[in-house]
Amino acid sequence: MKNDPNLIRKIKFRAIGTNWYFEFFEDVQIDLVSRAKDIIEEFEKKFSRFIDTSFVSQLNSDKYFNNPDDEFFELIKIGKDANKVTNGSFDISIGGILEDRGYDSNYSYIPKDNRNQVGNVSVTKGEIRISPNSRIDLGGLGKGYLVDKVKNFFLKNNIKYFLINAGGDIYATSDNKEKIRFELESPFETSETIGELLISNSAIAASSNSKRNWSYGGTEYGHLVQTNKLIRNKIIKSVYTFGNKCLDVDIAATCIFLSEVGLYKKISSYYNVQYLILFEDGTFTKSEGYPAELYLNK
Amino acid sequence: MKNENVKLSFPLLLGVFILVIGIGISLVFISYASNSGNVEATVDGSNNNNTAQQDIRKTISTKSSNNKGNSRRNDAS
Repeated sequence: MKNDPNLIRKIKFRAIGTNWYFEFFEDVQIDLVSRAKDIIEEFEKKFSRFIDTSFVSQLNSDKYFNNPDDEFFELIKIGKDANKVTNGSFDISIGGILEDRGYDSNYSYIPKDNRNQVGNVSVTKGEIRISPNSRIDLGGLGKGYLVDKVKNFFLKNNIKYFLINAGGDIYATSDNKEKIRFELESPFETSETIGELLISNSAIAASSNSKRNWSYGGTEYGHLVQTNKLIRNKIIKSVYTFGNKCLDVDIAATCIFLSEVGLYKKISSYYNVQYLILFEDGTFTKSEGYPAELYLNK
Repeated sequence: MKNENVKLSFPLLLGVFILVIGIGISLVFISYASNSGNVEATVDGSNNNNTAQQDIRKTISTKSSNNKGNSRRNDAS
């Protein structure tokens, strides 16, 4: 039987600075996949701080943005909520600090003077306003939000069996009602895995500084920046999360990575996610409902 | 009669007190021994009152990935 060129089962592409995978467990019209990619492209044009004409870049330049659309308003609100839940550890006004560290639109990874800092973000339906020395970055929540958006597009178009993987921010329905198996990548050696889990109609994510990190002048930098002084005896290597929505698992993983120990339960409850925290010494802690089978040393 | 009762009850109370202390110390040792396998009360310096959280002293092991570079990996890129 000849394959229909208008149908597709699997596609890999690059968008918003990461690898994307769509995998379908049924035949899907290629036109629908193109429309899903358009949704991603449109989102990137609006909210990437690396695109000069984006809403976020306009806000970062002018320090205010009049009449944000519903989506921009919602994203800023989500960021502000996370800031509150984490007592300030998660901060969408971190963008300027990331650029000062070299995580800029050219991916220069060359640190500059420390001109920027985190600051107050105010948002109403009429205006978003940020502090003079701060810039917005939606990296801690944008991908998860976007995966949910694409998921809803697929479901609305009667695609039932699929997975979306945006650089580790994953949503999967099922493989014709069978759960789908995922590996947890080891942050110590990326060709290795520390465990696996089976999911259906659920989302998983991970946060770590083991990727998107760089060194300059003998100093190590990462894209996850702690602005609060934390009470910790152990250094977190990775955080893995499991939940219902990709936005929730994405933002919760970053929040836990950046927060102090006493807040893990609060973050987990607020976003309704289960978590696994892997420390640099190889030990770990997890919420009781985190569903992975982990490989342990005996 | 009254004085004899007092004389009898003092060594009895002392014995009971020593017995209670002994049982208490034993329970502490038993509790410590049973917890020292793979679960510790707190990790990371916390005063952990989160009963839903499991802090594991065992370390993570790894296996070679079967899925390097494909869609079935929960990574942090």
